[in-house]
Amino acid sequence: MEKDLVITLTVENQVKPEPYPVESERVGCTIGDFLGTVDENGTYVEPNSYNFQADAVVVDLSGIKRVNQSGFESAFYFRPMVKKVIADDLVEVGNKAFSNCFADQYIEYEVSFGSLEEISTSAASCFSNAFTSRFGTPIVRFPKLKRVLASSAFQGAFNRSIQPDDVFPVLEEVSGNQVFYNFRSTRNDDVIRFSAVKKITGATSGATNATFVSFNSVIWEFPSVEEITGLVFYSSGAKEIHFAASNKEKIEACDGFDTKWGGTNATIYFDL
Amino acid sequence: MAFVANGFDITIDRFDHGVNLVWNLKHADGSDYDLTGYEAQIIIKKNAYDPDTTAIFDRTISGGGSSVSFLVEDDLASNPSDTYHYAIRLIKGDFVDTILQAKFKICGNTFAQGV
Repeated sequence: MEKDLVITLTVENQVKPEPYPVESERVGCTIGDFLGTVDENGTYVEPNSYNFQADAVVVDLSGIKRVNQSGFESAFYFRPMVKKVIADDLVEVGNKAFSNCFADQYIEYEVSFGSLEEISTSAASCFSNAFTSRFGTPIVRFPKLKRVLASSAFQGAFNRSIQPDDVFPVLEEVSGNQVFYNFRSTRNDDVIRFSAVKKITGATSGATNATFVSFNSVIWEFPSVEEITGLVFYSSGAKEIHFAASNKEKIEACDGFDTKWGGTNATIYFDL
Repeated sequence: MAFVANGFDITIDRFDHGVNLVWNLKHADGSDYDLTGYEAQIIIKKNAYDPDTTAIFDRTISGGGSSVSFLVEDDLASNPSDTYHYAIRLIKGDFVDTILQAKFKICGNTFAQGV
């Protein structure tokens, strides 16, 4: 090989954001555009949707009441043009139903799951890695979601510092392993508040199986929690845990209080 | 977003699948180097001294023109966040020449602390 070789390195084909179409030119995507089917009960089933990826600005999922296992897994992953998603008829999701679905978007999209009230224990990872974006912060709303009972339901869901109360305004009960595992970007001393949560049931074992895992040392606020048991916090990911002063007696009586539910490095406060 | 520093050190994150990394080869006089007949191997390992069998990425492509390129795919971009070592080797029969070695950094999610 010649000694006079001159090498230069370049990076090509980095996808850059394009201006999205104005309203009058929007591309819609409805049930008929998907490869799956929707039965008379509104159940959508697409067992292997990873190979299906659609381009759309407005994704209209009206009429779909149930999405079974992996129904929309990765459906819009690296199809970075989604601006708005309508999913207000959805009442039930299955395992990985929307896992990675809207990951890697380029614009500030909006998505609302207006009717979803409960994520059952059979819906593990249903929204894991679902709402990440390269630019901007997606507006994601679960306005009626009261119970999240599935492990890893929102694991890695956001790569932005969203406020949980904006996304889950009425969430009352959380149960399972890693439900909110690294669910949003964090920095040390971030305040992460779940104002409506009343009951938390954590994991049985395994430090990183905890229900609320942050890899930065954050401040958790649960002004409505009255019952909290199990392994709930990752040890190095909880600097402070705040509860309402009025719930002090109830919380001190909960199993796990002596071990801070896994948040061994945290200071407990009853000052909300 | 992928970027190059210090000449040949590469940084990618998990969103960079689909990015093309291109090494252009020229003679000192500016003329294009001809890679016809060569194979180009891109190998990425944790450390330079690690055996090739431990590589997280090892691909050999037929040479041609004056550039070596490969597409960053998800199987590479989703490796654990870390700083690795990569090398470009040109192979022609029994002749193997490592023409370039540098750092290859894989980042996790851009804003969140990764697992």
